[in-house]
Amino acid sequence: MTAPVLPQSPFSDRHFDRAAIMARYPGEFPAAGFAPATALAALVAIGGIVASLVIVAGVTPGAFGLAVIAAGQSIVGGLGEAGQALAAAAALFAGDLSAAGGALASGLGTLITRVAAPLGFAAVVPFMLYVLFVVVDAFRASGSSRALTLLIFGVLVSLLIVGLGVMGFSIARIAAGMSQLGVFAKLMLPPDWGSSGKLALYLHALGETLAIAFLGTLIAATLAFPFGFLAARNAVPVWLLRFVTRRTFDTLRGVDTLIWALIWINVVGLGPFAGVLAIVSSDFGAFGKLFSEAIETADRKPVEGVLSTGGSRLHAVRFGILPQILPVILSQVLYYFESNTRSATIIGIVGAGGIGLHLSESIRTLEWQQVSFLVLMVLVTVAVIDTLSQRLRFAIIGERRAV
Amino acid sequence: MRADTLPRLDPTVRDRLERGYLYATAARRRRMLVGFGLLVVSILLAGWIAEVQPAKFFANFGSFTKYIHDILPVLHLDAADTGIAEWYWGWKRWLRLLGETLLIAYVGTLVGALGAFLLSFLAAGNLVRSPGLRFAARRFLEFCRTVPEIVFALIFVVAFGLGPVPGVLAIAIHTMGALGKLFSEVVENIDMKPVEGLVSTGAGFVETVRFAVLPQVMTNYASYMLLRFEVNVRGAAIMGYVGAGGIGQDLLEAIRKFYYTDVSAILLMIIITVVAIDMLTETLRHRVLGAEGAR
Repeated sequence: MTAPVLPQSPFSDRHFDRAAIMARYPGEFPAAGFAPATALAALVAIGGIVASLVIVAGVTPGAFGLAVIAAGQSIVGGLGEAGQALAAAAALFAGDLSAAGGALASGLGTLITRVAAPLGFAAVVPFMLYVLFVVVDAFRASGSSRALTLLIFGVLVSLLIVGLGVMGFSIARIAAGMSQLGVFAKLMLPPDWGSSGKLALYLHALGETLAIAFLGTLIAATLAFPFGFLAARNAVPVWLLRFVTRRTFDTLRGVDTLIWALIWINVVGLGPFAGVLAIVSSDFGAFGKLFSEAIETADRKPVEGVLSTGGSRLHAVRFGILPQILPVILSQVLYYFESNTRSATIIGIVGAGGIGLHLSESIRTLEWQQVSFLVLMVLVTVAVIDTLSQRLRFAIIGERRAV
Repeated sequence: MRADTLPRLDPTVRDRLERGYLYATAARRRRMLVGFGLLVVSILLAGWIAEVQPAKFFANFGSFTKYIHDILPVLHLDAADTGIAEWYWGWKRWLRLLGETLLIAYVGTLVGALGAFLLSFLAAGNLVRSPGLRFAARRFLEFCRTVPEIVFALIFVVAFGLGPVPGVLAIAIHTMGALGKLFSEVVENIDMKPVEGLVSTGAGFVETVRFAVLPQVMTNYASYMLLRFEVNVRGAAIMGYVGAGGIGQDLLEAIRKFYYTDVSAILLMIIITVVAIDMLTETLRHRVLGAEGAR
């Protein structure tokens, strides 16, 4: 049996002659090679990046090379050390369990200190390679859009490097900080709450955090609901009122929760109540904006229907708009409850209640095991709230995507 | 046709239907009532834990309005220029710190977006077959975005020293977590045909991502990055609280030391900047997304 003879394609490898084909169809292919504009843009981009690297950030190839070599040595040495410690842990597991736990922690700590931290630093290298890749990639075609892309890219990266230099980044500082972080990570390893008295304190603070997030979200949503209508074009057609309401929302939103907390502490004193008021203040602006947008995107037809049967404007809002926006609003409120659980963990830093106070205190006093325990607590709580609110959202609005 | 000749439901059937309707609505009403009761109980419980004292709030509300009144500058129309000059006596320093805040946000967003860019392809369910790798990438991103950036900043200040460096790193890590999730969701929604085409020609992971995925996701990535930049400007403005650079330190000091008019001066600068960045990024995003739609 003989193989069928396939017709020879003019584009098959043997016959492919790029120049000949392009000459056959004049004007159908973009000009090949390096267009002057692209080449110039590439030159400017590379020049800007290199100049900002050398002049502003003070990076020389030699220093960079040395740092990469040091990181490599640390990774290799650390792998060996961690391997020994982990092997010791495995051997001990048969006998002394607590000693095995200690060896395991030490091995993991070494892995973080000497391998993960330098690896993080070494991740700069792929970034540099990617920069090269993009710049070279730009030569695959030509045209003004390519030149523009290159120029924007060069400006962005140059600004990045200038920023790094101005703010005092240096390879030595990053490397030192990374190894410091590794040491902290090692010290954090078995998370520990200190004493049982502290555990009770932490649990109470966690409850405070949840209460702050819950009450803050609920009150803000309740207050923002009527004001959302004031800012919506289709509900209240008064230009001035809308403008004033919207700018008020913007201002409230522009002031961060932490700043609000500081202000409210002056009014109601230290404690979680100030935290609740802080969340209410900044979320009032956020909810007002979101609600008014939801109202504005509501379908106009039900409103017309209600008005055509002789309903008043209030009826139109109640029976025409409200049923449309309620599910959207509910899912937004639930989403904000999740995100406020996160923000409520930090307002304790300024003394407005919640777990943030203990977190910042244990970081400042370098109680690393308690830091990791507290962070773990926050992570678990947020995960639980995430799951619960997702269930609730689906139960209320059906399997609809949150907006 | 006369009215009484209209077909009527059999009374027993009608009775059953009405009972069924009442039963269904009663069940719903009961559920509503239980839900409402739960809500009230949790409100009371939360109010008790959070030490809510409405009486104190209303009694001291005067001090809130007084505070707002105190931080506002005294400006007279006939001497408005000197008044403003006095109000903004430290404008050179504040402007520099505001610039630093913007720089922290910019560098943090870019570095974080780079990390998110690399990790998003590993966390996407449609590109990575290995569940272990995907799980690790996803949990890592989750960790990065759940721990608040100010907590990262607190730890980094101890490790890297005071100044904008820990602020940038904290924002970068948080941004990586937040953008990584959004980016990987974008990747999961792409058209898979180009990917199949490239894989069938024997392309590796990097080539597949570069030529099949990247062209589809680039505009969305840019739009999300701009959105994140706006959020990060707000975040960078408070980094100074823990000594991580930016204008936050001066604001905190002004509030704590009762330099009243300084508070309003700095706050106004921050609000104007945030609103301006808001509008700028929105315009840019519409242009980026518009360019996508036109293609």
